Amino acid sequence: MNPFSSGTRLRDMIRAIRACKTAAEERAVVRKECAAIRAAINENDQDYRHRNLAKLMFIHMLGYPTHFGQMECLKLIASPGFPEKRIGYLGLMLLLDERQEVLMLVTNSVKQDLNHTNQYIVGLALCALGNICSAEMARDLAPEVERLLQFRDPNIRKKAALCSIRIIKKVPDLAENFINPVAALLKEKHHGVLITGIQLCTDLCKVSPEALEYFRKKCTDGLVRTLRDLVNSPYAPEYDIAGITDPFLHIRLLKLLRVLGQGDADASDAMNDILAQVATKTESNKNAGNAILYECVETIMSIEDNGGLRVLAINILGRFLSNRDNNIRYVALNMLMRAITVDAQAVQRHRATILECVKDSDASIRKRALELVYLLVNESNVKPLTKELVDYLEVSDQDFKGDLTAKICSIIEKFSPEKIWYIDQMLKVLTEAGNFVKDEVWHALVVVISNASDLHGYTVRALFRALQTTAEQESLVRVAVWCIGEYGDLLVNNAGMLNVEDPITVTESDAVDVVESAIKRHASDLTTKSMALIALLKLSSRFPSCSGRIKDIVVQHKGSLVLELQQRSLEFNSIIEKHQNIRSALVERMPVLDEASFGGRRASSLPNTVSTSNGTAVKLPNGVAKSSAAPLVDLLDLSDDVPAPSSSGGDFLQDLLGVDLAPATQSGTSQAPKAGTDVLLDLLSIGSNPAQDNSVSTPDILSSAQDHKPAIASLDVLAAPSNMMDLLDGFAPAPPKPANNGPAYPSIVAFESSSLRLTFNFSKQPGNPQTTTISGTFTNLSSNVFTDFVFQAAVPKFLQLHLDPASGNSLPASGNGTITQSLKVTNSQHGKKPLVMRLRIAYKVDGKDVLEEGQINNFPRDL
Amino acid sequence: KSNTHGPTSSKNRWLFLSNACFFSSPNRTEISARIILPLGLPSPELGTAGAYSQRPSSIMIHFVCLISRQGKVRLTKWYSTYTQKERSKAIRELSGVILSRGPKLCNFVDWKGYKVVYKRYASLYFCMCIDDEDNELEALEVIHHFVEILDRYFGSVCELDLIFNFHKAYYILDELLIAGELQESSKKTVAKLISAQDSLVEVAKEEASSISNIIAQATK
Repeated sequence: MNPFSSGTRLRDMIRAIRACKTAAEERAVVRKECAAIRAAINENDQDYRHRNLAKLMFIHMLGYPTHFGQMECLKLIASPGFPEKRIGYLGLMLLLDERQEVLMLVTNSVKQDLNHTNQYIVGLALCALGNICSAEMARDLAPEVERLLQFRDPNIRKKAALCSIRIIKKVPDLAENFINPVAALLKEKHHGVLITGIQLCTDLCKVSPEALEYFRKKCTDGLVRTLRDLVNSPYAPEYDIAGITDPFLHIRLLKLLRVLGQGDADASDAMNDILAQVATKTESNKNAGNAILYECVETIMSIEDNGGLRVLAINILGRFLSNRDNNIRYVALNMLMRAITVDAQAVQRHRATILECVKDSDASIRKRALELVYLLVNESNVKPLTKELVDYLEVSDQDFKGDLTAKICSIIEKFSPEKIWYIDQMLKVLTEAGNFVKDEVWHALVVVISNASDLHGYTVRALFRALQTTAEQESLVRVAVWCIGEYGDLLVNNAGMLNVEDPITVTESDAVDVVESAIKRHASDLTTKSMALIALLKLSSRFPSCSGRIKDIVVQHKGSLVLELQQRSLEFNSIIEKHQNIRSALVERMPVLDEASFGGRRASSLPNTVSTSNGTAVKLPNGVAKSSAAPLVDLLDLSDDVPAPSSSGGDFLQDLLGVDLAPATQSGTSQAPKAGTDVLLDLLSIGSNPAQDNSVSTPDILSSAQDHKPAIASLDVLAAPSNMMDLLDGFAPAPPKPANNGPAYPSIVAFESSSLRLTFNFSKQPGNPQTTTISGTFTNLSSNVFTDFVFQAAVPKFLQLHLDPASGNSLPASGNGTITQSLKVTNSQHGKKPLVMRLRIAYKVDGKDVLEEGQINNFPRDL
Repeated sequence: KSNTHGPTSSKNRWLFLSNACFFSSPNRTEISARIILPLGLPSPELGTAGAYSQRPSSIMIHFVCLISRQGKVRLTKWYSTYTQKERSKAIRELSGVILSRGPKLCNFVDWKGYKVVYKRYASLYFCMCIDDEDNELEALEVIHHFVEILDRYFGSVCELDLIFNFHKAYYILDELLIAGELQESSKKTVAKLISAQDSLVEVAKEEASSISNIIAQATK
């Protein structure tokens, strides 16, 4: 016998684990136990197998891996005794789930146990099958389970019924086999069988329309009778809960009646009386009674309309809503949300109570109530409801503010009756919870402000005031800075004063102060700082008296470590210093932003609908596909005659500010020197140069080359990166130097068969030696056309592979054309291990499938 | 044996990336077909990789768990398919949310589109994850039903009972729920079934010991 396994009993092991003071101690104990168990498994120890499995289950519960014990479960299940089988099945359910292939090995044992003479063993097998069976097992064992639905002992019948539920969920085709046996179960008296039979019936109705039709015709009346008998039954101690006989059976009956009554007037009619009786007679002072009422209300709301019953149901919900018990209020909110489609008017009556629930101390209730309020808003009540919500925003919990802000913003956008109200409410939200406001929301606000020309002055003053009270809300600061930059003059001279406003006196230097504090605030991020910098440039023209001071502030950022800020401040500084004559024209007010195109862009920024010019919408996952719009083009507004640069994914800010907010690392190195010398050339020639899109740094071209690849595939580009550079770079001020491409590598023939050749060209991006860009070219050596050409590649763990789209999926015969495919491989073991790759190429020749496979080991060593 | 390690071990496996999906739908922004398979085996159809994460439709209880006041797991039972990782993540998240809730609040928390109904009994939280449209009040009643049966079986049950006799707690749960649905509404019936099976085990034990006695005597 194994010297280890006889060691500790289960109880002792649990004690030892509980006695551990630290996690490390616990791990040590578990490791020792696991070692002993493994040893016992290896020795095929029989005597302690069940004890070892019990230990493993405990260890599993603590979160340690126990896969090595899976086969032990199978052995225990296969052994003849009940105790072994009992623990074996328990282990099977705990340590395995339906995905493990090991499970298939147990099918045969389960089948034998389902036919066992001991009914408890049959019960164990049914229970395991019901909890973890896979689709294959369901198919194999369905006939056994079906037969057991008629077993003599009711406790087996009920288990078989629940097991059938799992089977028909896994394999819905099997549903029809169960219809007849289930109809018999519905007539049973045993509560367990009845409950499970009804449940099975409900699930059958959901997967099979024929079953629904059958049960509706044959069983509705019987079920109504069963429910009536149950409701009127005398006290039954075995099933009694809080004075109600078997609430579980009540609820399941009501649920099935709901399924049968939905969409069928006759069936609904048959159950009206009993539903009314349940709704009026059920005691609502205990949870069990309320659970029944809740189910009953849901059934009334779902079945075909009966005015009287609906009123009854809504009244119950009203009572629930005013209940002091939080659980009851929670379910009431839940139900009202579903009732709103049936009877919106009735739900509106409870608006005040629901609003109170938004302010509840319980997060679950608040969340439900907020969702409900959102559904309740319409044009007529939007103002008072929004006011309530905005007022509450001030005092709400931090962790609720996010949800609340999102909902308020959505309500304001959807139902705003007029622009001034919209702006007012948004300002309140920004002031209270600006940090929770999503980018697209304040972008939309800026668009609205830009369109409301009569409110420019009002808005900028309101924002200025708001900023005096709080400067902690990032998005408030951004909107305010933008508006002050655009409409600073209106702020100072109080232009466009509305009647509702209190006049304020703001000097020019006050306005500059605000922007300065925004740029100097430590918490401000790059976006805010860039916006503030542009606002300053604009103000320097609007307020000539402050020009000197603004220049000083701008100059301070010449040394900024953030490339974006550094570059902008250099540019702006030279505008302020050297180009006084064109400055005012440069920083004119933005043209009105087009609401429609902004809305469209927002929609198009949703995943999968991204569309850019020339139909190539493939965006690299790493985000380099961001079209590098030329700086300042919109800001300077010289681009009226040129189509605005198409920015992928609605990069609104880029257009709004004309600032390329891409992280500095992406702007590459070649941009920095250029910025110093050619900045004005860049700035001023922008509008007239239609190819300005291309004046971006080298790395960007390299990566965008891959994006545009499908579009230019017809050009038969072999070495995509270099060719693309020529293509796009015709107008670039400084052609990139080939040295930037890093060392050159020889091309290889990666794969060659009698019919197909694949060659690889390699290139690396400078500064990133780990990543290799491979351009693969397929050539057809045979005389037949290959169609449905699919290329797959696999790499070991230390490599990362990224495949771009291929240039096509058909390959012309005899080398008359090629497919190009670019791949990007990142070698995490660069310098230590060479690249290696396996290929699988599938295509069709004359309609026949061909599969070729191979491994590439001849990569240049230093990739 | 290598096949007992299950699909989690990924040594010697190759990750195949395919460009096929790209060409058929050029608007895809990321690679969706990733298949993990050992080379040499026939490859499964593209796009089947995500199929496991589907939840069966309309199951009442997705999982049951018992968490102690200190956040220790005392019992878990999964009726829907979750990977081991999803399981421990779910438990971690839920114990964080539930243990931090005050005593007077409602017994329901929203969690990833599901609802978790929980109730505290002494030092233990009994939690059940149900579908969003299911009856939360009934789930509370099921929890109480389970606790009453445990109480009857152990005789005023405490956390220690469930730690040292965790397997018995599982046996009881298996007599109460199968496939995430309620099996029996009578506490008496459950108690009867459990004690019948317990006595079967006792009988088998006695037999075994008497047989080994006989053998021991015979070989003396």
